[in-house]
Amino acid sequence: MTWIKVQTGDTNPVEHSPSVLYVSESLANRLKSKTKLIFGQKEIDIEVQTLSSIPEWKGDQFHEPALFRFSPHAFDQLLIQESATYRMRCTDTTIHIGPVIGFLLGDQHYYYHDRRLRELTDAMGIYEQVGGLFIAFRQCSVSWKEMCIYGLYFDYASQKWQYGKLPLPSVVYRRGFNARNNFVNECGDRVNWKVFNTVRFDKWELYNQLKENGILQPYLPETALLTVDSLPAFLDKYSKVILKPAKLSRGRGISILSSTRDGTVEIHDYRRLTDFRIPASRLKEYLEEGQYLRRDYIVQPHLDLARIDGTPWDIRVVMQKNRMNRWVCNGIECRLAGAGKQVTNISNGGRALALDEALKLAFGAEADPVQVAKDIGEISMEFCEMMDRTGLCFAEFGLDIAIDRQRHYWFIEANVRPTFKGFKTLDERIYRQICYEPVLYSASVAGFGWEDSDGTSI
Amino acid sequence: MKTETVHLGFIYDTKKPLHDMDNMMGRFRQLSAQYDVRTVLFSLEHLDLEEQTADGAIIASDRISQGRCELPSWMYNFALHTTADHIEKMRNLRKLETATVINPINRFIQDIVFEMLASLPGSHQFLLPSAPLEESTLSEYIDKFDALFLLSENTFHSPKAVVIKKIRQNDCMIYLGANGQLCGMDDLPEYVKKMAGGKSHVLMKGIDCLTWEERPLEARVCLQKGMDGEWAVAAMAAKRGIFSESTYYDTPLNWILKGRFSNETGEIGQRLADISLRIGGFLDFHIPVLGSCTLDYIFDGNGCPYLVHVGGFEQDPYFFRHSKIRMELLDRAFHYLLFLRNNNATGKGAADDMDKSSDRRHESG
Repeated sequence: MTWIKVQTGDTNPVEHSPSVLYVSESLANRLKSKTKLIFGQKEIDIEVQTLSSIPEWKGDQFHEPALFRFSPHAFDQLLIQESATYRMRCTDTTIHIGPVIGFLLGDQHYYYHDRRLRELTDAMGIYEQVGGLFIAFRQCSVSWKEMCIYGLYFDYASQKWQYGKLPLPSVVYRRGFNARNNFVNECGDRVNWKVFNTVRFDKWELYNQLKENGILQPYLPETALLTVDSLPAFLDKYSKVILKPAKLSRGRGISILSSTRDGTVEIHDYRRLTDFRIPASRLKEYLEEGQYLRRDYIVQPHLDLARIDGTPWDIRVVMQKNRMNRWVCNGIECRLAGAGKQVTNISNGGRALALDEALKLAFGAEADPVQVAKDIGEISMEFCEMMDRTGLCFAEFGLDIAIDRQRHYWFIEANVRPTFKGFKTLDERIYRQICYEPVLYSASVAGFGWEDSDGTSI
Repeated sequence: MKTETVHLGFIYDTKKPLHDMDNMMGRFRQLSAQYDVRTVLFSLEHLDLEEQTADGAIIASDRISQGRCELPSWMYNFALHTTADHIEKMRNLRKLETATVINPINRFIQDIVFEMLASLPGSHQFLLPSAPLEESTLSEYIDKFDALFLLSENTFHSPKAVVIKKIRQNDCMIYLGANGQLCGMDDLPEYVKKMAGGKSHVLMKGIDCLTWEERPLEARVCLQKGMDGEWAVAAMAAKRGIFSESTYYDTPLNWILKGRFSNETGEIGQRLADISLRIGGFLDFHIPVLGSCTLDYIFDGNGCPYLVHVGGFEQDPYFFRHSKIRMELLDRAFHYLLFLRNNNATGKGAADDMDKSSDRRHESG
C-alpha cells in the first residue's frame, strides 16, 4: 500500500476527461490509464495522467506520501479532504483510496463539535498508522439526496474535528444507541457500508441468547421477566431478588427486595432515599404503583457478591476485535461500588481497581489473580464467539462479570458500547489501546489492514 | 390519579410571560378539536421522567382539564431551560427512546453554530469571520480587521456585544452601547480579558452597520417548520438589542429598508428569507429535531445582511403580543407535530427520516 496526499488544481486547461488523476511518472506506470477509483462509497471512472511537476515520492511512509492531484471535477465528486493522508492500493481494475471510516454518534450531545469528541480525538492517536478520513456523524447528518454526510472529519494537521461535506464511509462504527436501532439496517438498503455494533440486546434478550450456551449457562443468574407471579416465586426461592429494567444500563432503575421472617418484604427502591417494608400480600400493588410491569423489568436472585470492606465489586472486561479480526481482551478492571451503594458503576460513584488488588482485598491470598484472569478471559471469549455465531457484526463488548463469596463467577451484563472511564484513571496505556483497537479494526474491515502483520502490538 | 393518553405535548415555561397559557390553550383547543387529537401543555416542573407522565392542561374534544397523562410520542419545547435541574431533565427527556422532543434546546453555543455554518458553501456571503475569544484569536483578528465585535455567549441583557475599533496605530475605542472607552493596543488583551470575566465570547469581524434611529439596525427572522415539514419564514421584524438596549421597532423591516434602499427593498427582504431558509436547511444536518429557530442579522451599508445570532424557539414577548404572529408561531408548532405524527413516525430519529426539508432546501442553496 502507498501513502498518499491529495490535492486539486486546474492542471491542464484542455482536459480530455472531466475526471483526471495526475500522478508522478513512476506511479503512472503502475496504474492503468483508464480505471475505476473508489473512495468510501464513491466510485468514479478516472483517467490517470503523468504530470512531470509531481515529485517522485514513493509513498512508503506516512510522512513521505506520494502526491495525487485530482482535476476539480473528480475532487468534488469524491468529496475527498486535502488535509488527510490516505493509503492507496490498486488492483487490475480499481484504485482504492482510504480508509473512509464513520463513527455513528448517539444522543449523548444534542449537537456535536470538536470539544465534545474527546474520546474520538484520543482514538486518533493512532492516525499515523492508519491514515484516511474519519467522519463523526449522526442520523440527521446524512443527505441521501446528495449521498453525502454533513458531519465532522478529523483534521490531522490541526488535530481537530472540523465540519464539512463528506463522503459516505465504507465502514461505520456505531458509537451510540439512542437513535432508532433500525436506522443502521435501513441504511443497508441504500448503501453498501459495513457496520459493526449493529444491534444492542436488552437484558432479557441477552439472557435468552446466553442460556442456550452450555458453557456460559452455569454463570447465568436465573432470570425471568418480572410479573406478579414471577416476583413471589423468586422471593420464595431466593429470599433476596433484584429488579432490573431490561433496557437500561449503568445501574439505573434497579430495586432490591428481600423477604423477611415476619412476612413483610423489605424494599430498597431506586426512587427513594430510604428503605421501607410492605406486607408480602401487597407486592402486586407495589409493582403496579411503580409501573414495573409496564416497563419490561427482569427479576434475578440478588447475588451474594464478594465484598471489599463490606462494599460489592464486579469486573469489567473489554473485549474487542483486533485488526486481524480476532477477539482480544484489552482490559480488565474491577469496579468497587461507591459508599453505601449497591451498584458498582463508575457513573454511580464507584471506583476502579486493578484485578489483583481487588482479589487481594476481597479474598486475601486465596484467589490466584492469574487463574481468575484466565477464567474470565475464557468466559468472555466464549461469549464473543457465541455472538459472532449470531451473524451480526460486533466489534466491542464491555462484559460485566462478578465473583460471589464462594468464588463462583457470574455473568451479569454485556454492553455493546461500553465507556472506559475507569481505565482512563487506572492505566493510560490500556485506555489508549482500547481507544485505538476499533480504529485499527475498522481500517482492516475497510480493506486497509495489515495482512502481513501478526497484529499483536500497535 | 387517572393517567390519560394524549397525542401531542407542548412544554412551556411557567415563569415566562410569553407563554401566556390562556392564549396558548385557546389556540390549541381549536386545533385539537379541528384535527381530533388530544394535547397536553405542561412545564418541566410537572414532568415525571421515572413514571414517564406529565401533569398539565389536557385538551381533548374541545374540553380542557387539569390532569395526568402518559408522555406523548411527540412533544414541542417552547421553553428556554436555564436551571441545572431543568437542563438535566430535558437532557434525559430528549434521550428517551419512546418520544421525540422538537427543539429540546432553545439556546445554542454561538461559536459552535457559526463554525457549523462556516462549512456551508457560500456562507461567507452572510457570515462574518468569527472565532471563540482567546488571546491568540484576539491578536489575529485585531491585526487583520479594523473593527471587531465581541459577542457574549450567555447574557440575557442588552447590549450583548462590544465593538472594538482601531482608531490609530496604537489605540482603539471600545464601545459598549453608547459608551466608548479609549484603550491602548498593548492593553487590549488584558482589558478584553477583564471585560469577558472568564465567560465565553465570540469574536467577529466588525463592519460599519446600517443604522436606524442612530443605532445598528437588526432583523430577526423566525423560521419554523409547519404542516408540510418544510422550513418557512414565520415572522420577520426590525429590532435592536445586540449593540444597544433592546427594543423591537413597530415600523416593519421593509419600510425601514425602503427608506434606505428604495429600489432594492424587495430584493433585500427576499435575500434575508432565502439565506434564512438555507441556514435552516443546513442546520438540520447538524442539529436534530429542530422545528423553530430565530436568526438575527445586521446589515452593512449596502443592505447586505450578516448573521450575528442563532436561537431556538422565539423567546421574545414582542411576537406574542401580536395575535397574528402568535397564532402563526403556535399553529406552525402544532402543525409540525401533526405532520410528524401523521407520517406514522414511530420513535426516535423518525423526525430525521421524514423531514427531508434539509435536503430540498440545501439543494436550492
